[in-house]
Amino acid sequence: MRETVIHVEDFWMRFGDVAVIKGLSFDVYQGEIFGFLGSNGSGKTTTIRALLGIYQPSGGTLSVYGKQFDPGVSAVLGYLPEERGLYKKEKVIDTMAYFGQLKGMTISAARAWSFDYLKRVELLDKANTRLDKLSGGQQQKVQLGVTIMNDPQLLILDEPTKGFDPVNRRLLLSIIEERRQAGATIVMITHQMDEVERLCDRVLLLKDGVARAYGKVSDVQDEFGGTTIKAEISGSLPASQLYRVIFADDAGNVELKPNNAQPEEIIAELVRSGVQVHSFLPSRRSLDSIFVEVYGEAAQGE
Amino acid sequence: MRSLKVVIWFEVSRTLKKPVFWIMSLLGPVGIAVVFALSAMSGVMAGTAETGQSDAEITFQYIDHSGLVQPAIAESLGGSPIDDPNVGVANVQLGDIDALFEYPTHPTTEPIKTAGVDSGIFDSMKYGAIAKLVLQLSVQGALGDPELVQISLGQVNVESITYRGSVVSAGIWGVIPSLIFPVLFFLILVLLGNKMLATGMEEKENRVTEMILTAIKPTTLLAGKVVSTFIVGMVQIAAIVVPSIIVAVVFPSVLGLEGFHFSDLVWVPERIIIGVLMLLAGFALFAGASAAVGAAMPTAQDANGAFSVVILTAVMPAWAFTAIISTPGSFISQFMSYFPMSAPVTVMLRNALGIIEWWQAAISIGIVAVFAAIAFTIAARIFQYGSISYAKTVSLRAVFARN
Repeated sequence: MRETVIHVEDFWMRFGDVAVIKGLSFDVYQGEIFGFLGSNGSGKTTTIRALLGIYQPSGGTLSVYGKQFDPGVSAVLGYLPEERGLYKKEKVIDTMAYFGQLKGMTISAARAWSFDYLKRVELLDKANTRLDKLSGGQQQKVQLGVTIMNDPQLLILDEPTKGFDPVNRRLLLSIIEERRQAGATIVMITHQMDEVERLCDRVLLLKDGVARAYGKVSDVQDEFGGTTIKAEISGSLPASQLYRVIFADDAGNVELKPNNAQPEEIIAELVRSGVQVHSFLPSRRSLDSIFVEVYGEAAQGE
Repeated sequence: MRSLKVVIWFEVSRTLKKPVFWIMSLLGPVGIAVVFALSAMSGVMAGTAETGQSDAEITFQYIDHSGLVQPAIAESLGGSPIDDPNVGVANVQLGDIDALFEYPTHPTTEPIKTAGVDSGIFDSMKYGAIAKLVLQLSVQGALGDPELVQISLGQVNVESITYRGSVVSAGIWGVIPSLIFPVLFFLILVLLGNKMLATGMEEKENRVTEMILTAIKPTTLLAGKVVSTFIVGMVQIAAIVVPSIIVAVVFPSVLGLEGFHFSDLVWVPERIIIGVLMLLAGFALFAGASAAVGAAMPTAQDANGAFSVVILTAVMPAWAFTAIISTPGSFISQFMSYFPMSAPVTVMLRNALGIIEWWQAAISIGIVAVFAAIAFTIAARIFQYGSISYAKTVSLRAVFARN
């Protein structure tokens, strides 16, 4: 049985009379990538802040490696918050060394690690430059470096690709892959469903402070409709008892949800109705469409 | 403890490494040195001018209603008596003489009148100087004995001894060392006010709060910042004081300290201990209060108003200074000695002047220390829960409702 890294049980969070989180429970296991999903205001960041002791929970249990989180053991944690920043008036190397020391490294180890990292991201010549003299993209690289200093066993990334340019997004994804291979546990809080589908082992969909879905990605997909059929067609899609239309656009891309029908029965029905079928691919329902179903169209663009 | 050291080292080193810190620190002593140099030069020039004025050779006539002027002395300085002032003025106008002096019947209550040829604002002052010199030398000549002359001019020394019970009091030499503490306190507030405010604000303004709070406890972070601010303050004050002491020792006349010796100072242990403890407690109180204000406000601009109130409470005792030192038992003095925000300055002043009992100071230090701890706790709480409210002012109610 895998070790539980994060344990949340019956977690409540109230701000005044308003309950933002209502009895939330979930676990994150050693070595997995866990997707923590939800629209803006659904309580994701609040949960993480409570988990890390920044907020005092109104009720319930939140633990990291079996104990209430203590900054004194921050060596195990790499946290990239949604609101990001560093000491802008300080030099890159001084800032990185400072955070490295706070994470338990010696100053010489922190500086050596920082120089290696800066070399990797092609910022070695900026080591003695003030942070506010760097471009936004360069500052993001430094921020990422600070997050993964001291090879944390647990990475919590809140909206990790938010505001990142494509270069840094690729860097972040390669770092996630490296940490996964090193056996680290990663929690991703995100709206980017394509990343979740590609990277995450398990997910939790949070809506209005309660878990709307929780489990393996495939289980959640099954829970929200199992297999769907993605097809590219010409002609008008006929109404049928065999399927329900989940998605259709003017270019002929459609997604169909079978009503206890086999894919071959559906394609036969389409052909019989005079529809030209250019492609026909049975697959699990996308998280993107599940997200839209749970949170509504408005949430998709957030 | 390790994290505390890391924070202190980071905060102190990043401040001391900045050239602007040293420029601002040394600007004070350099400015003071320039002012002293200019005033010393002015003093020399003024002295030379005064001496020159009274030594100037002029011809004058005089009318003596007082009967004090000795003709021989007046003559030796270029004077001759006349009876009619109008004649004297006419002679001045014709340029036959340089000046006319008319001595009144009672020179102590009436002015000596001079009329002279205009030789410029400053040079014309010589007429007054010579007129007074003639009278002074005439009077001293009448007294005859140089010692009587010196006594009449008040040129005598007094040596005083006062007793506290059977113990000789330290006097003014015991006051000076203890006065260092209120001076240090004011210097800290003036030099480090903004830094103390930034204690709870910098992480918020830089959006670094969340990252840092997962690496260190807020109390440890704030404690490290407060301690480092104190260390930086002491370095800055040393940068001002050390050059001043060197000048005082090497060039005492520049600071007007002729005859002063550091060995004259009397270091009263009780007063030094009270001064040190109150300085530390007072600093902790104002650092904690400033940090709380900084953490609660979204920007430095928003924090300035509340911060001014905090600083104002520290300088309150200055308004009641006379009452505090003349009647230490008065209500205002007692109130200011025990009200946490005004207590540091009040007690340090009373302590320096030797007008506070040790137990009164101890109570006051205890009150300030307790309120410093409360201010610090509030600051840490606001910092933790409020500093992620990036765009709005944090209310205490909201912070303490998060349980």
